Amino acid sequence: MRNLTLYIVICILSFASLFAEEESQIFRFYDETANVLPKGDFKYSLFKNAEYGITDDLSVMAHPLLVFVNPSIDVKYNFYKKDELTISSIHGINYPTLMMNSVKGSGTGGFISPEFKIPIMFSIHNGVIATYKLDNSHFLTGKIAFEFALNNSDLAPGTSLDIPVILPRTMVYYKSTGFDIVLASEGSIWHTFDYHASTEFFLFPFGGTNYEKEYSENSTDFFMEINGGAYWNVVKSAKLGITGKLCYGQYPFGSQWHLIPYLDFVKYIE
Amino acid sequence: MKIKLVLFLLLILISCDPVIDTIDEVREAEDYSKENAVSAPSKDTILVMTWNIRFGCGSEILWFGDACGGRTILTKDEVTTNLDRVIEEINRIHPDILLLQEVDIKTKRVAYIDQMKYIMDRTYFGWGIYATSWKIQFIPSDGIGRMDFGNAILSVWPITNGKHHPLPLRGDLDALTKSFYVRENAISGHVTMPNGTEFNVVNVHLSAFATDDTKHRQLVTYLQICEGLTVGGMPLLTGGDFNLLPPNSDSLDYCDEDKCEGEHFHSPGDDPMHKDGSNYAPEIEWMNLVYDKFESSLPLDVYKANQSKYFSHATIPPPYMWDRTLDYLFANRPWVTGSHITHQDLRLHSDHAPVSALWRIK
Repeated sequence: MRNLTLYIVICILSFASLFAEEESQIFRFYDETANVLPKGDFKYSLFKNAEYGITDDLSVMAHPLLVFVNPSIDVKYNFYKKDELTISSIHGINYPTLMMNSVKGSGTGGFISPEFKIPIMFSIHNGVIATYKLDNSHFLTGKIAFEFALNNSDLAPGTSLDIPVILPRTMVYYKSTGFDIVLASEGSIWHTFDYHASTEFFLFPFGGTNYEKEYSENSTDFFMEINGGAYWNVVKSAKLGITGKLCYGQYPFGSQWHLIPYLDFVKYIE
Repeated sequence: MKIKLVLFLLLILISCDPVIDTIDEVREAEDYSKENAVSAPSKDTILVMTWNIRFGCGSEILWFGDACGGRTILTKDEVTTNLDRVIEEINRIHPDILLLQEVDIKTKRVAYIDQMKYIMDRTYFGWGIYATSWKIQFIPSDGIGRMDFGNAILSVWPITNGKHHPLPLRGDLDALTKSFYVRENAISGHVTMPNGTEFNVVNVHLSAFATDDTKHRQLVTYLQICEGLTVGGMPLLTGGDFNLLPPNSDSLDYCDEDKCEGEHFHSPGDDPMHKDGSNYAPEIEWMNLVYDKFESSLPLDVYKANQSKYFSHATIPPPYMWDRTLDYLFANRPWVTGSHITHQDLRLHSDHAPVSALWRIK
């Protein structure tokens, strides 16, 4: 309960700096879309990557805090925009070695056993994202990305963190390749309230890795996250919301569902 | 639409397991019986065995938790190699009733091998029940991760009414650690032979590292469970890993034997003065509670005459040999005199030796 209170306080404090009045009527998205932020604009939130518009066609995305412990950066390039449809390409790189080493250790907080060596690893992903405007306040987004990992030595299967949210995002380092598919919708519900709904699929269809040999009793090819949330536009450039994340995963011990509620916000600086 | 929504929400709730299973009340044991199991012929004298199999870790791997080691996560090959050794001996000794402690299912440290299923599939037992002692989705310490380990009863005759009895938690831990820690248990079942002979079985594992009166409180609860299962003169067979020495043991303190490199005990200024779980002196009388109520396969005078012959545990890996007796078999019917065997030759299989004896049910 104390942690929840602390979390709410942090969210509220984060809003303390947000009260600058804007006049724009443009719908401001919480989640990633094919739209590229205009040059010089910036948006950030607690759980999603921040985005900065380098030009009107190119933006860069990274998490403002996590980037220091889990270096990860994406660029988004808009190559098609006509009528209601926007299509962009996304290209990114992630270096998880630092993060995995930081949670490796003895005693409390040792998420990964100290007996393992974490190799130097990178994952690279490339994809396409498209957003279709149903009307001025309702949007559909679809994304498909292919990712592959480069390791300087094998990552021991015993290092995996077999928990929701984390395992689907690190599985590529055990299986070498994977697909990330997202279907999402965002829009206005009523007055200053918006909705966000998305389903994300993580697919790892190519087998034969050490991980699968070690955990051969169960398939570990498929993960899914269904998100549904409501957001309140506190000011025109910022909104605060509550989201439920329903996770399904094929873990090495079997399939499991989890429901994770969380609070988040998004702030635009334009 | 509303009904669909409610059903969907219920589905979500049902599908989500608790992060930590605190096991606060008596519940049904998990059934691992074979679908087409065929009951063995009835017997007047049955062979019983208890074995703490140390989750298929063997005795040579230095696990971080109890052997001064650096290993936490075993590989599938390591686990299956050790389990196959254990299974080979079970099939050779061929007990009718087998009490197992430290069996892992869906646990990260053993490559998620369901050891109950693994053992059942490779032995002749038709019936098996399991009760978890430590079930938690993720332990954020030393890389342990997911944990589900516990005790089991395997039988060549049908077991019904399998019950999982939680024992008192350790009293010497802070509240946070306690909530993430082991809830030791007793597991019970009712066995029926084809000729109608019935008896109850209880398998127990007491806390290994408690330094207060935890084991005494657990023993009292365990004895209440046993007494409840002997109502009406019902035969009772019980045993397990009590983590307590026979009350007439000569050696009571194993801190020096168990200490890890750099540890020091028994000298002025040492804190703690004794290694957790290695000093049995304050609790040496506690096994009298069981000896006073039930017949042991290892009478105290027999043990006293040749103690080392009955040592069933060692913390230090081989070639160091067994150095203390922690594993017992008891019943409310007599044992065949001289049938108690501590299988000390099985040194590589676990940090406990299996203990077997013949029990006269009629």
